Amino acid sequence: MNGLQVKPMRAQDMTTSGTLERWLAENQLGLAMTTGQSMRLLTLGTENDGRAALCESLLEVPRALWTDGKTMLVSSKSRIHRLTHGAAPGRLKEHEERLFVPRSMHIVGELDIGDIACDGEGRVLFTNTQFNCIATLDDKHNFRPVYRPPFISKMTPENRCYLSGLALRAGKLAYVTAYAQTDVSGGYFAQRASGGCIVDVQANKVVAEGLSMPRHPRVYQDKLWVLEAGSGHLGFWDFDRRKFEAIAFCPGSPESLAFWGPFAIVGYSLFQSPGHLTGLPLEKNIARKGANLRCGVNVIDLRSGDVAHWLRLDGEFRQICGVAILEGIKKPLVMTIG
Amino acid sequence: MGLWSNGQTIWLGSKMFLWRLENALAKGAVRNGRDRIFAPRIAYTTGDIDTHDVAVGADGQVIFVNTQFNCLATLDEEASFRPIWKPSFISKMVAEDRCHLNGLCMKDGKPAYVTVVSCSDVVDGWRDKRRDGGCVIDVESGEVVAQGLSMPHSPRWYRGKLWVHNSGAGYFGSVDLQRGVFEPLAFCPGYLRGLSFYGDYAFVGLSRPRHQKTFGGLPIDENLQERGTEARCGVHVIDLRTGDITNWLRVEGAVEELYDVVVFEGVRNPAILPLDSEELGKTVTVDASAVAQVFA
Repeated sequence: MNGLQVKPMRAQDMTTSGTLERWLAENQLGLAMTTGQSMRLLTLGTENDGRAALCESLLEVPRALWTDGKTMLVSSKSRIHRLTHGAAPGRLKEHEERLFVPRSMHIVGELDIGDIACDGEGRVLFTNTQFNCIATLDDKHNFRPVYRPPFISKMTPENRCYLSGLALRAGKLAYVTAYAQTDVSGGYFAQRASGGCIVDVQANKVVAEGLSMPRHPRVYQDKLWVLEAGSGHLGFWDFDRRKFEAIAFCPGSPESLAFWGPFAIVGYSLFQSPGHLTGLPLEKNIARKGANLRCGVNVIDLRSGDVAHWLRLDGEFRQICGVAILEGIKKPLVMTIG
Repeated sequence: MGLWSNGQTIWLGSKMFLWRLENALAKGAVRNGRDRIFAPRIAYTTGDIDTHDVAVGADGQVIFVNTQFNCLATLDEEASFRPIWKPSFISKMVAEDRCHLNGLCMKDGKPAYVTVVSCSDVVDGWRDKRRDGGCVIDVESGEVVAQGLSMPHSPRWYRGKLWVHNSGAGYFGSVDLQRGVFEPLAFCPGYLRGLSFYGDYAFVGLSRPRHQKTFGGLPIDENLQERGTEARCGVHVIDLRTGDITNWLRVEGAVEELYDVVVFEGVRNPAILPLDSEELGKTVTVDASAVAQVFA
């Protein structure tokens, strides 16, 4: 049904720090990544002998990713997929293996979904970037809007503010990020350098400003973490000083964020078109550090900001739009959908 | 395979998925001359369980015949399906298509009767009983209410009667529940599957049997020969008062079989949007009250 034609992935397309596999194995962790235009949902785990175990599942532009270790939600070009690992006991050869199987697929349309999560009531929430709102699934319609930022006046597919991320707190929608506080079609583009904001959903007001393409807000260890896709930074919003505190830089545009213990896992990407980099803080940051933009994942120690482990993807890989840690799953596998 | 609709929602069984489609047009709206445009909304992965009839209960629960596992089933969040009923003679939950459970008849919003090709409890056991092993089973009591049928299909409750196809013989008719006897009403030149009603009329589907192993050696062969005709694919409209075929359509070319037939009442020109079509991409519908609430 998905009929995707992609070039097979080559061994040299993935390079790791060498310590990444050991860290995953020692902590019984698996890593899941969505690769956007590279059309793959990748899961990385380890074999019993410590070698990397990589599984590729083809999907049309997979982006937003969420899991609680049992259920996995993935958005693709026009769909939202729900997978669970429900294999009968004894069916998998190794105890640590978990096979995620597609259970349902909602055809929601091309909404440019960048972030997704399941709230405390089991409701699927996602950023509907085209329609500038947070939405949930609907049996009868494409989607059902549940929240829009205060500066958006109308339900229209114009991607006005580039609504990019959502954060839950105690199982409830708490924050959303947008690239700009603008109410005109495509209005965000001109404000990508510093027009980004975080909106407090409960208060329905902007609580953080001056960010460059903020994404993936997450409430973790009493801090509100956020990525700046336009500067390359992972940081948190300091509510007292009303400023963004960067703690680490990635040589790419950070687009996805997960946490485990004292570590942040950040996925970063190349830009779709090099021209999109022009005028962004990331352009200067990359030049100053004498680095090249690349696509990869950094495991960052939150205590020091140091990169503890990393992987990079080369070849045709350009994006990591979603990352997730699969706790207690040493070897995650995903059945290709459709 | 199985098809169910109330005119707004369609449930459709396919090889791997159970599909839910919804009418994307507002009440009374017409687009390009079409007064129903069904858009695929959700696909549930059931796995290859050979889904046959599909229906929705009064409580909104979708129920489908899981032919591979010899049971009636519904959807499950964590699994491929959740079994809800099996014939009493089936001893195990196993993917062996033992009795070829295929048809589901709803009554008062609940599963009431099912059809099986035989009451066999061994793998593929039904294939040896295709001539006369078919039964209609009462779901609540588990009792066989009609037997001796040849590959019966599509049991349906309509106007106080249990209608069914004796497909292997080519007859559409009803079951006299008092006497436990099938009463044929009309012969159709094709393998009958799919049944829907409107007023005094039954709409039945006909197929041109392809596989000798499944369809060969059935009474319908003799019945067709006797009448000097061959099986065809199409739809017949049968007058329930006389058994006369008052309207028909033939399907030729690539389509050789129909599995199910549904009548849309009050609809002139329905269409289904193909997956990944440009029109489907442009057909975005949202619940108006939700929009009003959020964008107040």
